[in-house]
Amino acid sequence: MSLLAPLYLLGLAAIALPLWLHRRRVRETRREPFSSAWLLEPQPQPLRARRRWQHLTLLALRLLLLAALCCAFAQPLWRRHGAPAGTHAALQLIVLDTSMSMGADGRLGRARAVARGLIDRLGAGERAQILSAADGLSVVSGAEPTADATALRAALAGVRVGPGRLDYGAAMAGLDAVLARRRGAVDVHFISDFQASGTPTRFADLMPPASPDRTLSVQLYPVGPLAAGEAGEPNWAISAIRRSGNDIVVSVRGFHTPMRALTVSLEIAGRPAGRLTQTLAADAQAEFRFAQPLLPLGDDRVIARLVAGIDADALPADNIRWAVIHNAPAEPVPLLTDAADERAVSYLSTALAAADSGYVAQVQPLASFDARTLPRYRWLMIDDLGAVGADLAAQLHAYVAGGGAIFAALGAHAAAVDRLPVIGDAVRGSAGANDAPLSVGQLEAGDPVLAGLSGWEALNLSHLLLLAPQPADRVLVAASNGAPLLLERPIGRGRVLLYTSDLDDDGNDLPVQPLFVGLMAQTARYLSGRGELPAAETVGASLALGRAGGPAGQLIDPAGRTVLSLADTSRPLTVKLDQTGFYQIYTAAGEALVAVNPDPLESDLTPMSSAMLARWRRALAALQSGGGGASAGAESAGGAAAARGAAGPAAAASGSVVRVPLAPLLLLLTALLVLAESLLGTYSLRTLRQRSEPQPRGSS
Amino acid sequence: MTVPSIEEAMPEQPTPAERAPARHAAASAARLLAPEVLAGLANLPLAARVAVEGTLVGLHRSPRLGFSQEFVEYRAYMEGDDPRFIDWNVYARTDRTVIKRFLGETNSHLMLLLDASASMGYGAPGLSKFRYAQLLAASLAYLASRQHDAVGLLVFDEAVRELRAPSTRTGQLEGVLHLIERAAPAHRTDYRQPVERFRSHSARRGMVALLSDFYCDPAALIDSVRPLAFQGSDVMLFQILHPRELEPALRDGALLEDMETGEQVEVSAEYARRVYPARVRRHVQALRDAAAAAGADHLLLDTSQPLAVPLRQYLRFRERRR
Repeated sequence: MSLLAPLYLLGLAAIALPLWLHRRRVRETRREPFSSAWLLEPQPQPLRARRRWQHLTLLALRLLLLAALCCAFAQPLWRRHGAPAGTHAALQLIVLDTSMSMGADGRLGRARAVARGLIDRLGAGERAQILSAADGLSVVSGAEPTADATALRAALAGVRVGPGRLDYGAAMAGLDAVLARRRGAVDVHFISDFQASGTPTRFADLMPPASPDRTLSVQLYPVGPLAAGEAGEPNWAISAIRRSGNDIVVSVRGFHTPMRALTVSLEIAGRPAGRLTQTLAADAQAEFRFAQPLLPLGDDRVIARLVAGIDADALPADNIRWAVIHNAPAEPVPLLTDAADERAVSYLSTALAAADSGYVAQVQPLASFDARTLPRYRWLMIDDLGAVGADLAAQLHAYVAGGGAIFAALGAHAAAVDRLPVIGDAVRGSAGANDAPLSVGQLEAGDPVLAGLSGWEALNLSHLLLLAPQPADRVLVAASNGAPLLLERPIGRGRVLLYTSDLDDDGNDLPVQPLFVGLMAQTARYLSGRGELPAAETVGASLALGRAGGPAGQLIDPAGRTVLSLADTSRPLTVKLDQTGFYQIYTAAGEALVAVNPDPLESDLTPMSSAMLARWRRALAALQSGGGGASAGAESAGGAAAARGAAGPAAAASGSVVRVPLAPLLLLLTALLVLAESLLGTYSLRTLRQRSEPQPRGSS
Repeated sequence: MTVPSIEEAMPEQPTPAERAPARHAAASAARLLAPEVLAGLANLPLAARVAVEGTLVGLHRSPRLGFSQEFVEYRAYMEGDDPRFIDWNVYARTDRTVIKRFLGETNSHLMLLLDASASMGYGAPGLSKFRYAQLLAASLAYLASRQHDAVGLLVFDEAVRELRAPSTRTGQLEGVLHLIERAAPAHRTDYRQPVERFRSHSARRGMVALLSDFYCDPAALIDSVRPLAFQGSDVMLFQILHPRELEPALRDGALLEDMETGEQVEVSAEYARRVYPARVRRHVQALRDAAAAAGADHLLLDTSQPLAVPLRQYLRFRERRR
């Protein structure tokens, strides 16, 4: 028994009122001395006893009435075990883990057996729903719960293991979204192999979300390794493919594996690129280096496979990996300057070359730059925006508005103009010249330009120009005085990335800071558009298509199907990558490839430790509010039995807990009590007049 | 010489000339003999005297009614008779011993049996039945004493509490009145034992006045009293009831508790109003019938009645004995 609104029980104090009134108004039968009772005839039923009985009954009815009313408002829930019948039964939510690891060693089969047992044990009218859990929860048995066991079994048969990863914390959080409009009692049967790698960092994330309108009971059914205490099945997996110079390196890792000679084959652009056999130590990782394979120009599709030595491998799904390797000569990017011997030019050119960004700086004087060549370039650099003439500024503005991008700094010329060329902003002065030294105060660490860069705190800033950000601007880095230091200004379909200080190592030392190389590399990717789309993703990741309100383009999945409808291609949207392989993306900027692979964490089949699982169960039992301990114990036993396939899910199902709301019954009881109180009260008033005339005793 | 008839003993019809002052005197006596007025008198002998004088004031006969030295009859001498009353002349003529009886020698004795059981206490704090019985007993004793009748008293409840044999000795009346005054209602009622006790102490014929509420089986009561009647005594049953016993006035149901037994009976107002009075009437009638069958007289008195009624009844009884 539990109460949803226990404070209403304070209303029970109101029963003192009828008690007090009864004590005041109760009238004892008048006792009178009489000479002799010899001629008196006892009444058929003693009036006093009858009246006392009536008073006590009335009092009891009124007390019960108040108590029932208070209890009804307190909304008690009656917790009972066993499968109930009727519409008030708890919803049975069967959640099957369909992450990649469930494809190992018949785990999915065992999970189906447990689920079938649960379906077989559904009570009459009891409804259930089947969900698959891998990169999120999805319903597989229809939008609404059903009591149709045949439909549930059919849905269960259609459950397949996917390449996704299951994080148990995310799954618990996902229950809230699935049960968003669900009220009352819900029994969640969670069937999984409970990988250790799926455990969230915080144990608290393993708890289901609490809701005042819902009582959630979570029962765990491990279907992991068959042998109790087993660490995990042996599994080899290709964990990474990368380019190292002119070589392609394939990383292979073994989990709980013996020493074995493994053979890896490489395929580039659909053609075999070689096979390598190498002995891998027990439970170890190794790199298979393919020397100087032939890489066509452009984005190459690279596929690595484990093809031999994996007879004991428990999980075949991770024996293949996809990668996209960009193989193209560096593209020139104009670096416009008014003086080629400026230090800024050297810093920018050097940083771009060192960053292996695929671009090389092409220094061009501002005076001689032919603006007609602008459409050739995805982006360009200007070491001092203030040096740009008016004509070129107009042409550059049109270039940006048409989709181009500029990275510009504000050098000495910029400090001398009232209004900056291209962007048209007024210079509101400078900061740091005579003031205390500035530093970086705030930065958007998650921005693609700044992601992963560190060392900003070491930046010394002595001079920057003050600009007033526009509403559409994004201040990526701000100085300690709040002034923008790195500003992104969208103009039309393009953008300008503006560094409000110089790159001559005069007003600041950014050009000589280590982070400058990384910054330029990410700036190049970002402004060229290549950085918008990752070359590699894991299954379940979300891919943002279209930027700055632009169209998404079209997406072709690994099976060759177009993912987006025609309408979707014209607006930005985010697509979930739920298949492994190569996704092709066609945007206005060109064609791109994304290699999607399973999460390497799924390859580790090590189950959650029994201690951890027991702790989780205890926590769930405690969360299901006191008295759930026995239930949790039954669940535990049931889960273990199910995992071993011995007793099957029978014992597990017997531990289901149903919470029946008692408020409707209490309200019905209240109505009955009101009726009874009225009838008895009326009868009591009527009996004040004696209705029967008793016959006197026969006198002598 | 003739024995006065009861008609002679009873008040004669007054002449019209006598009627007016007689009515006035009777009215005054009625006011004076109101039980609640008499009960207010702390002195019982005084109350008795007032009652008796008030009663006799309306009578035309002398208070010494029936008292004379006139010859009445001869009676055969019986063992125990005083030899002084043997008519020796008759013995000389007839050789038989007879006793010559005169009118004055027909004085009777009155034995008062006063029920002092707890039920007689009903009626307090106003005029209780027992107080009424005390007044009546005292008045009867006073009246009998004035008639030169021997007066005795037996106070009883479930046992005999006080007993004073009938006597005409000086101070007898005061003694009787004192015992009456001293009695208090308590305990249960048992008629058989007092009557037996009285019979064992006195074999003489006389008048026996039994003052009680008679909450008992009439047949059993008469069985107890009948030996007295067989003995030649005139038995008078004064049944004293409170008006609320005759017509209980209950506004609501009540739990009535027997004053003697403590038994509690819950009755409704309707039962008390309709059923119980009829039961009392039937009981009184049954008692009256049983008394008549046994040669006893029965008189129902409620405590609101003036004492003149029972006193006149006593006088009728006394005249009947002549």
